[in-house]
Amino acid sequence: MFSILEKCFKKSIWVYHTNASACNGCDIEIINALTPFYDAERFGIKLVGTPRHADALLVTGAVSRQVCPRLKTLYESVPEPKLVFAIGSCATGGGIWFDSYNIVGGVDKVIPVNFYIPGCPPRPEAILFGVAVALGLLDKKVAAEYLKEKGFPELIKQEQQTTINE
Amino acid sequence: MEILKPVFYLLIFPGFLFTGVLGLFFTWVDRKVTARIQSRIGPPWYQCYADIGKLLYKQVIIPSGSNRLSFITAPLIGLAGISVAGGVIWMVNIGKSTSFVGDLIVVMYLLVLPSLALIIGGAASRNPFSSVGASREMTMLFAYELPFILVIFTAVIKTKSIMFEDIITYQLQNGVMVASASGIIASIVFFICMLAKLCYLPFDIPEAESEIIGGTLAEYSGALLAIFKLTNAMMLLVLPLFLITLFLGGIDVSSVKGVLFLTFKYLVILTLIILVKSTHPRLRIDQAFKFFLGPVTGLAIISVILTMLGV
Amino acid sequence: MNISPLLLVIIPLVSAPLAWILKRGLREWFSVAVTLCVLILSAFLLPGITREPLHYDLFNITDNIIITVNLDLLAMVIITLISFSGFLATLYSTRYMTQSRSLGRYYFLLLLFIGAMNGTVLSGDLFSMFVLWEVMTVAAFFLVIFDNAVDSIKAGIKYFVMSEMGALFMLIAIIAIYFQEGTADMATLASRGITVSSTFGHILLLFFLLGTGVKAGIIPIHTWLPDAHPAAPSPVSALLSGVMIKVGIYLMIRIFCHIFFPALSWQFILCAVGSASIIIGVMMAIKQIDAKRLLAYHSVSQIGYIVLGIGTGVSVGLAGGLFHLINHALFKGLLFLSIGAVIHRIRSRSLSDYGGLARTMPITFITCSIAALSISGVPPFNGFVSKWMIYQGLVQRFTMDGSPFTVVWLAAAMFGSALTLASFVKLIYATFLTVPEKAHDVKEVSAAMWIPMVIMAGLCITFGVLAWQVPLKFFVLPAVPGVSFSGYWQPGLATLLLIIAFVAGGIIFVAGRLKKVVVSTPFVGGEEFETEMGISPEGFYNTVKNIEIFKAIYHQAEKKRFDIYHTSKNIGVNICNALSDIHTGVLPRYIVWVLAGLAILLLWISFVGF
Repeated sequence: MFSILEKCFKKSIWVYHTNASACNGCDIEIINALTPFYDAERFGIKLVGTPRHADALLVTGAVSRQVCPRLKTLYESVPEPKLVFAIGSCATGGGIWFDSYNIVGGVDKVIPVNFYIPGCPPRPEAILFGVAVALGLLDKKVAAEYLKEKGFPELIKQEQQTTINE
Repeated sequence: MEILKPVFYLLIFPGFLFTGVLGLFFTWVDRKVTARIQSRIGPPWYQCYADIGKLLYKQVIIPSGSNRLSFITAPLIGLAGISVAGGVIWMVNIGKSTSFVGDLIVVMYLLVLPSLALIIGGAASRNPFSSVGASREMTMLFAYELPFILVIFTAVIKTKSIMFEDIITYQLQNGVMVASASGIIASIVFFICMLAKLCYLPFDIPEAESEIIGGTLAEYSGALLAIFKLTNAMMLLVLPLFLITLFLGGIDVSSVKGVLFLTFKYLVILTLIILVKSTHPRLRIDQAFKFFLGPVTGLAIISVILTMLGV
Repeated sequence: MNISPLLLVIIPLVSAPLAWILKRGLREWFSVAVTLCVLILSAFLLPGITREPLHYDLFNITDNIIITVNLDLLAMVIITLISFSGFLATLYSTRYMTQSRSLGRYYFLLLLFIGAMNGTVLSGDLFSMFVLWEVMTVAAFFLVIFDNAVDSIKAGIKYFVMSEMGALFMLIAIIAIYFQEGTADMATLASRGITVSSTFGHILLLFFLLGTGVKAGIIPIHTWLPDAHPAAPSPVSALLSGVMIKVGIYLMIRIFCHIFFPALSWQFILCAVGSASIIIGVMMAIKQIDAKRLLAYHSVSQIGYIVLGIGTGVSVGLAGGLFHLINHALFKGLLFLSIGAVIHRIRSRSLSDYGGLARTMPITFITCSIAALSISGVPPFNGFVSKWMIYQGLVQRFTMDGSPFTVVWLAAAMFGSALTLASFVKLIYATFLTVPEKAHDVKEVSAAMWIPMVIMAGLCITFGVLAWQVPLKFFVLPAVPGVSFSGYWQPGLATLLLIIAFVAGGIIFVAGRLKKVVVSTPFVGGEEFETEMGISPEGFYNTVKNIEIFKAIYHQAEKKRFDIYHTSKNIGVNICNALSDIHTGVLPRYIVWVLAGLAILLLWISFVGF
């Protein structure tokens, strides 16, 4: 019986969006992702107004000192089981501001993060792709190897020859 | 053993389980049609059942300092009220010559219980936003009860009785109530009050998400929230059935043609609800209050006067 | 001659002075024992009276003025109610009044009050009833001013003056009836059935309405109620609101339904007055922040329901009114006792000082919630059954006469029920469910105080769920002949179904507790949670109060323009001030007055003659 309920969890994720000192670029892209053009509701994703109703926290922004305790309170307000998505480069690791005086640097320094969606700001399609990966609908894209193998075979051969010569 | 029959009727067949499953299905219909209006695809057919299942899987958080007894029993009171009210409305339509538990006045009072449950739940959560939501829900109850009572009286005046079977037999003999000028106006006023009772736009003030963080339901999570959502779904099924019983000729499930006709009537009302919901913004509480105690009560009084004149 | 009904009056009246002179600890239990005796006696008499009513003469004063005792089922029901509430209130007072001085006077007045109320209902002729009515008024006056505060004395004087004005009107009517019919015996008058056709009859009924209406508390002569009921100590408030009002209604039933032929115009006036009381009482109650004043306004409103039931002129309406009378005594008494428990602990009557008492006073919370749900008419409690019967009475009356006003009364009654729910939500929220930090050092009240509350709450539930088996079968339907129901309500089955649906919901809740249930601080947007957050009782209905029409009416009500006592006082004082300007003290001015009067007199005699 519990496995049915676990499957239900994947089919209906209610998100609560919070802004931890972001520049609002990622916030706009999140709101874009929830508009009819990109239609998040077909995955069962709904925006709710209180973290008590939420399953997933969408956190944007490099976390500043003032936001830090409030972000912790927010995380504790969400009932288990929960997912945390860090959206944007600032949330992933601080972005450009990672060593600034008032920035803690990345959401994972404050609360445990399940999924990172980098980008500055990430496109709405990227946000939806990240959420679909989280739901197990798609496999994770492993981008780096793919690109390396795709282009410039002569350069790679040249590199390999240089290492063999040395 | 005789006592088991009404219990079966309440719990399984046209009561709790049946109304709940159908109600959730029609909530999905609502979301799908709204999505189509907004040129998007919308959720798959199992969405509402998945929502309830997911909510059952979540943890229940009780705010500290709140009164646990009221917090936990509030959604149960609402569920009990709507189950019995729905059971009465189904049973008096299906078994035409028997009365189930009560008559028209009983159903009107039982339908107050879900709103009361929202208010107690909001008052018992120790959160200022929920108490604001509770105050607004009570003010809305104050506002829409008067026109609601007046238009139900048009049915009582015409049949001079408060038993459901008299109202249904009157409509079988004399034609549906909606076929008169007073009936049309009364149905419109009932429809508007029904929107307020269901907490649908433009009157979803107590559960305003963007204004007061979720209103009366701000602190609810997990299984208790599932019970509230189930109550809402059942109200979506029961209240239009109440409208159909009073004004549109009742439900006739004895033949396939009757069931199709019933589905058609219900879908017409549901479509109207969805259309109004998708095209209107939310009203402020004082605008809603003045709206109900002004134009809507005026229309209700006009319909009562027309009924007394026999039109 | 059967002496046992007389004991119902004699025992309390005789024990009253004894209670005054007894020692401190003995006095309370003596009073409780006396009231318990009276209750048991009335319980014994009840089945006998159901079989056959008692009516006999006591002694003759003159040939025509005979003091009689009349005990039929209607009177017996009310006497049982008085004895029951009296016993519970006395038991409650033993713990509530421990801090006051001069308790001997209190128990003397309490027993006198109960005895006088029993006597008023028991007497069969109008003169003895009037005498005991006055004794009841005086006892209630001294009880209202018991704590000797300035406000209490002002409230008591207002109550006394208005009550005596009404009693004066009633005395004139009684004397007029005596001179017209030659007898003051109520049973004889009822069997003759006086018709109300002439102006004389209408004036008589108007005077009776004023007299009994002041005691009952109908609009517009209710204005003593919101001042006097809060001023009295809580158990006395429970008795005043619960039973003394009902004695006024009892006399109203006797006059309007038994003695005079039901004149249709007076039924209309009763319905109008009842509906006005319902709506005005509740609209004023929504605004109050003094807890007992709120409950007093609700008494006005519920009396409106009873008067509306009487005014329908249909048996089921009268039965509904009688049942609502019994129910109101139960749940209004319970409300005053539970709010009294809160006042006993917190020492304040204002709703702003209460908060979060649900955790520290759980018994009070549960009984008060049961009473609040009953008074709002939520099924399956007892208030719903009596209101349902009154609605059926109105629908049957509409079937008979088809008048549009009946629709107005019905709409007012049902709307008043929704407003009552609104007002009690505010009361329960402000007292029990908000800001628990205020209530840390408060404990639950002692057993002698919560036992009466629990008994009354149990009766509320029993009278609701077992409505057909217990109260209707024994108390109401035998007292009112010819009741025919036109609706359908099965409280037993409904309660069973509600409980089953409740349990089904509970099963869903338990099934969902896969992970542990956690407690955490409420979420307020991520900020720190301050303890004083929450909407205040004054602000609960700000939206309603700020609508222009209501604002204007409430403003005028604050200035007491609608208060008959206040307005007549102002008019009287102004007239007297204007007249006193004539007495200037200047001698030549007086000589001018005398000469002018003499001149007019001489002219009159010379031109007109004697």
